[in-house]
Amino acid sequence: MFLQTMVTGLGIGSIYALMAMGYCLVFSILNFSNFAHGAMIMLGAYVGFLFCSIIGLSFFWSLILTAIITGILSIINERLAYRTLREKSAPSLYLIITAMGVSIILENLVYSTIGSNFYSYPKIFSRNYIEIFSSTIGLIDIYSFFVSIICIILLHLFLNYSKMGIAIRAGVSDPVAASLMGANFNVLIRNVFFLSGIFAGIAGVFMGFRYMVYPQMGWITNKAYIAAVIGGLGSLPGAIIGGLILGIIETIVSVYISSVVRDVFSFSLLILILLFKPLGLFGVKLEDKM
Amino acid sequence: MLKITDMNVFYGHIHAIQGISIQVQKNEIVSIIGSNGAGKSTLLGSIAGIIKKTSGEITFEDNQLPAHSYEIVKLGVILVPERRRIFPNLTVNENLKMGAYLRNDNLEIEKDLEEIYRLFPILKKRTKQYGGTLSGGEQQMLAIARGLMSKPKFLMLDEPSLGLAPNLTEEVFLKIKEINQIGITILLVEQNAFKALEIASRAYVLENGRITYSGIGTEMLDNPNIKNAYLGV
Repeated sequence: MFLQTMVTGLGIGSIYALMAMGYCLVFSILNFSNFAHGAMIMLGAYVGFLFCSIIGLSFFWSLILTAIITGILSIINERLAYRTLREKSAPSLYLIITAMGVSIILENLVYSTIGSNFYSYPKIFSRNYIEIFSSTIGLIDIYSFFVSIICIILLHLFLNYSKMGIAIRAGVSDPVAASLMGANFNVLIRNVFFLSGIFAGIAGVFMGFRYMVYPQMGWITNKAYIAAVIGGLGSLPGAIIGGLILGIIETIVSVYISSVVRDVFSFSLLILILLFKPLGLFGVKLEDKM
Repeated sequence: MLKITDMNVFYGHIHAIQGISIQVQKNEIVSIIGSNGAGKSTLLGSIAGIIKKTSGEITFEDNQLPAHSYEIVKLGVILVPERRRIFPNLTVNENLKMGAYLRNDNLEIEKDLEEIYRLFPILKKRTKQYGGTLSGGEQQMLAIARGLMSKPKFLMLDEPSLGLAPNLTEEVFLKIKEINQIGITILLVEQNAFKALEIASRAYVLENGRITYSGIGTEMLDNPNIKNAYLGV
């Protein structure tokens, strides 16, 4: 029972970690919380459903294609909604409100075109569970855990060893100095949004597969936001650890107490962390965090 | 090589640069001295494209300078900014690689890295260390080295001696001379007027956004007005 709980917790937690990393990437370079990220995840779930169920591609290819599409959608989102504000050096608050607006627009766009039906992904594995040490382990948990690990490793390699990755880290700490080295800040931002969109797409497909696909599912990402804050907004390791902690705690509460109070625990945890460690577990000190 | 004609810069209502015209010839070291708030950093920032000028013309090798800093860097016009602004979260090696951001000749970059480490031996011992952990003098060396990694034709240095102990200041100015001797034109902005005039071929005095005096560096050292105002003699 305990092993099963832990694996499920890690499975869910790794998806939270993916979502939280998307928040974190944008936050670290633009210093605002991109609440349109949840809508991107929702779109990812729909796009993945389209590939998986209607076109009939394999789960793996659906995942890859969805990631690319949400990556591009995320770039478009930045270009249309945020760039003008950035160029007028608007305060972060304006960007946050715009992001919320984008998320409402996208959600209602789905309502008015696809409708409010709930869809569920087709079966992808011939069996959903395997037995290890007499515990039932969900294959999707293992799958999502390993995909997340691969994403995290690839992101790490990209940020530390590629020229663009180094430039993004430089832009995070000092955009003006980075532009004095010849880096075009708009290009850095575009790549950051592409990455964050990729993570949104992958997380969306897993969320859709695990639960259901419906227009409001983006709000689940409130959890990812909690994860990002627990870890410390703007810190990538923080986002990962925060996501895993949240996933495990939620599963333990659901299993040993009741799934009804699960969210009560998540939000209480958020409040406790903010009370005792306002910067989160791995927080970076910044002037104002929103 | 670089020519500024009648440039004006405003910050809101503040007229920070008031109709400045200066010239820098190839292979010169030109210094701009002046007190705090005279507009020295604004002047360099406008050349580098991080501050938008209101009017006037800047030409480099007889062509208009483009508007964006990343296009200006491409031409070989590089600013080593005030307070060094190295990337604290990047290692020394990554900081230097960032300097070579627009270059694609990887073999040459490796060679230039070796050359940089020969010129600044202290950095070689620190390659894997984060920029933020370096001392002030090391950070200044790194900032200059990072500027050199982009293969500049025209290097601007903003207050390279700021916050450095006298012996380190001496070392930084020696390096600047050495860089000039390998064929890089230098425009230097300094509060340490004595040092700046000593190494300059020519110099300008900037006061409240206006050029009030210009001349040969060493001759200006003997000018009584400048002695009074900037050399504290």
